Amino acid sequence: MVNYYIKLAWLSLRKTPLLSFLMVSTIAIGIAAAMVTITVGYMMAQDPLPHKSDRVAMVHLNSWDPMQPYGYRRNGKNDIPSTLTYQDAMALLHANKADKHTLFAQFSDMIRAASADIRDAQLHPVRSTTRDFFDMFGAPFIFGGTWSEEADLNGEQVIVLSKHENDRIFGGGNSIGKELLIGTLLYRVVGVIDDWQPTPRFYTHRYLMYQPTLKYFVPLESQIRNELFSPTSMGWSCWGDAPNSTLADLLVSECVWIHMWVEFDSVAKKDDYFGFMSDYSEEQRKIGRFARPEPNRLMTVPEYLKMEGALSNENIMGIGFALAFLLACLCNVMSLMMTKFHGKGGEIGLRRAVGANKKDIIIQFGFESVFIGLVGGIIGLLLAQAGLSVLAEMFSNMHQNVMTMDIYLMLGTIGLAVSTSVLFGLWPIYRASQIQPSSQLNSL
Amino acid sequence: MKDLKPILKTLWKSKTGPILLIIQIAVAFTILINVGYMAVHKWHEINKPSGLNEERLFTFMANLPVEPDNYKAQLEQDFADILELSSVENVIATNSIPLTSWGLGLALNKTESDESYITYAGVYSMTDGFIDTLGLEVVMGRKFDHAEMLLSSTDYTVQSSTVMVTQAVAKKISPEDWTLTVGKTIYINSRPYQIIGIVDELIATWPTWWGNERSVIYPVYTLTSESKFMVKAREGQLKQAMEDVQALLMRQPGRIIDDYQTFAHTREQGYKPMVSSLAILIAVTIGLIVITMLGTFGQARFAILRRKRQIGTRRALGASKWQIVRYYVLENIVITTLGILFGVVCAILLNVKLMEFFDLLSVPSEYFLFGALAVLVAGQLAVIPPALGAANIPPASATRSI
Amino acid sequence: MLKMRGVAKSFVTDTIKTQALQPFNLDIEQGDFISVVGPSGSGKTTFLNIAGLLEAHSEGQYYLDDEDVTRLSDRQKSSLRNQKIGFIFQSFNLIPELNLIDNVEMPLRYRHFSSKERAQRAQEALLKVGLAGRQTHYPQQLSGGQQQRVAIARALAGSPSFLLADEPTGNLDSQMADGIMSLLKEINEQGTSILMVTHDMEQAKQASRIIEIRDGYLSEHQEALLA
Repeated sequence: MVNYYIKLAWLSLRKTPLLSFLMVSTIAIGIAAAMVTITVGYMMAQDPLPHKSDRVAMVHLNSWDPMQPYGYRRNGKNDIPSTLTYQDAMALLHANKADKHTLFAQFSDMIRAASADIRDAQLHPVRSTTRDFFDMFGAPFIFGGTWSEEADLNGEQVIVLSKHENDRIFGGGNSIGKELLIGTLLYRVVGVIDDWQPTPRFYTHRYLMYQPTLKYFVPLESQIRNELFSPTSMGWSCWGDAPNSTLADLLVSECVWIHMWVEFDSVAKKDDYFGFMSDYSEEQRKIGRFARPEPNRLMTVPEYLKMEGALSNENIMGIGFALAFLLACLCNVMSLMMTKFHGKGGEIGLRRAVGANKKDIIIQFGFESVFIGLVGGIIGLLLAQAGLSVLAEMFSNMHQNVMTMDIYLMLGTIGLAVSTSVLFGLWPIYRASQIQPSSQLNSL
Repeated sequence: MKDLKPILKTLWKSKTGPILLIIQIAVAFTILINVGYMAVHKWHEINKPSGLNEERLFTFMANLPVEPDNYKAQLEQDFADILELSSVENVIATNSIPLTSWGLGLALNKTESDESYITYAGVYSMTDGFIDTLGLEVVMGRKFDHAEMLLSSTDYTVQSSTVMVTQAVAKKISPEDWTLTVGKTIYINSRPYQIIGIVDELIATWPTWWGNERSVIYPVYTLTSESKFMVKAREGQLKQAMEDVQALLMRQPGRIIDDYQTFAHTREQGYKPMVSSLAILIAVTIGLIVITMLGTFGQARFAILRRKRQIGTRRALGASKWQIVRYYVLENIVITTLGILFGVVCAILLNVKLMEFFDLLSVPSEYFLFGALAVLVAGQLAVIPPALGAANIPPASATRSI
Repeated sequence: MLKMRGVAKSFVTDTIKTQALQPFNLDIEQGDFISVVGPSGSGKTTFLNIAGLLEAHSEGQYYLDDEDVTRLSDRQKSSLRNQKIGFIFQSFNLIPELNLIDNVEMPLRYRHFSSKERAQRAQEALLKVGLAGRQTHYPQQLSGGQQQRVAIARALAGSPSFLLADEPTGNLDSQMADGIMSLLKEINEQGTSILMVTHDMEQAKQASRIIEIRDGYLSEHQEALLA
């Protein structure tokens, strides 16, 4: 019987090509619009560390100017810095109270293979960090691994690079032990990570969350020992009168510029760590620092994403508009279905006369609306893919991941199309099943 | 108008189609009003004047490949070398390039206390000659003296004691009469600065900030290992100047240059996301109108198909084609008006929500007027083809069974 | 097999009650061939719709094979129509996008027969009406007379107790009409009762009984009068 109903749905669709085209394309357009916005919203709101996002937390210390707040949040409350001074970052790192610690900053310099000509050097931003970065944020190695604890302590000139750069510079082989020049400094390759893009790239500022990951990683201590300093791209915030025009100035200043994340083996340890942070602030207060009233923050990944507004109001509004648009489309489809089923009054009358009961009619037209939804959903899926690639073109500053559907979203697209077309088909179907057979038999 | 009563009666008798259409129109109207308003708002943002002579500017980042003690000498040497090029008219260094989204913003206060907040402003610190290089216009007060414009190794906010502001900032400081701003003292980070001059326009670095016409300029420039340069080419020699400057700088070993681009390109890049959003908003608007017109068209056709016989009868009884058309046109006006009425209520509710989210003002009433007009016209355009079809139904169809 | 006692039909609107059929009694036995005649608007179609369980009567009792069908649910009536009644219409009412075998099989689908049994019965029915071998043709490829034969095959496929025919030759020329009439008589001779509405007196006389409906009153012509 299922085959029969599918065949009837197909024949019915073919019988009125214009009407069918209007129904299918209206659903397809509505679904595509909805799914494009939902995809972007869904991908932006994903949990980037699904297995441990509540055990990985960002450290915010309120070391700011006693005279005025760091800034204001949207709700009007005083904000505190989300990065740390060098001295605080080092103090917390060396206290070693969490299970894993990651500090990071960045700089830019000319990079080339040690054997390459100087003219082949390219300017690249470099992530200066500590060895737990890769493990904590889930960056997968394809060759080698992270550097040693000694490398962090002594600022050894070792480097991890991305697969993309390894392919470009070393032709993709195992390049462990090979050497790169950063400016004039020789760095030894210890690891190569696979192409890797957490979405959102939760560990940075909001406005950088959908940008590509950096391609080079070196120990933070090696940046400091070599005074690698990029004032036009590093980004730091200062208060007071201290000079900050060299890296050496920055290290002893109250300027904040280092991100710090910690990881715990169990969620319970988080409160202990916050206690430790409070004790640290208290100690610092005794020597005249940390004079502001706002408390420190220890924010897990979801908390930080929520505060930074990874999913912006604009995205939510976009989804709202698209769903309203879908509603308008579906009203249109419902209207068209009424027309369609009304035109089938004769057939309904005949089928009722030869013994079909109301349920049989409901099933037949139910199949038809599922069929319309299915075809509309498939075309809508294709349209949505096209829409997303146009969007990716338009917002080329954002990473592709945000504008790519995963398998669940694809199934969701079809599911949404079918379920909404059935939902909006219910009334026309009910009306069709109520047609009196006797009134229709002379008009097939 | 004598048609009105039978129209209302008929609509009431078979409600589903008209109700669906009314929902469509209400949704379309709601979105149209709000999206239209946001689109116009974005359009103004994108086309905000920067105050710069954009077609002659290009910008880049370059390092000073010397020890910190020699930064000042190196920068001055770079300026001198660049100015010698025949294709270049002027050059400056700046802490931040307009519309690149990279720079500092600070709060301006009336007194030392941050309670006396006036406004937030984009912060520039530029070297001598910026007025000419950027093509700014001093509308009040004076330019910085050469003596004020220092190249310093300490922070420019500390070294400076005077500032210039844009007219938009002046209007914030002295709302009653902005020309009185010159000579006043403002406080930034609890430090006093005297306003010595006002420039007409200078856009801040963030394209998406709605207040980006508010900028403040410090006379001191802080030397670091890297500088951002803005170069004004001679008339018509932008391309030549870009080649010349790059060739000149790259002669020095250890030199790094990045982000080498025309200002026109920077502007385009900066506004690209907003232009894209605008394109999407426009696409949404067009899509909605098309869908609604399709809905109107379908609804009218459906109604006419159903009433074919009735229309034939009316024709047979002497109704003119025009009277038939008028009937459907009027019916459409009734449905559209109902849709718009619901739409107005929804649009206002949505607008209130959006105002909370986006610091938007409430939609001005003329948007409702034009929106309603647009929806009515679209509805009429969509209903006329089927109405004409109805008028062409032969009177004979009354006597034939269908 | 069909017994009506005091059956009547009236329509009630807001203001007026219209009596479409006055109360009547009627018995139809296995093998009867009954013509229903009368001017248009007299109530013929209403009578046929009541007999075919397409419309409910407003008074009286209607027994089909000794079962009172007056109070049956819509679902039960659908099932009864499917098993006991075959319909033949003036305008054939074939579904144009289905081929002949699918058209003929349609009532059997609602009886949930296996596809094998459906095919077998439909083929037999097509054979009976002289259209074997054209199963895969579509209705619009046939002449009017052939289309009506397909409709008759559809009515026969479910082996009903009786056929209801509403002006079966109304849309056909006289030669085709004669063919359909002889086919119906043939079917009747094999034992299927037929109730046929017509306004052609010549055709009516070929039946074994004639019922006349006039202004809602139903009366049976005596054979003597016809002869």
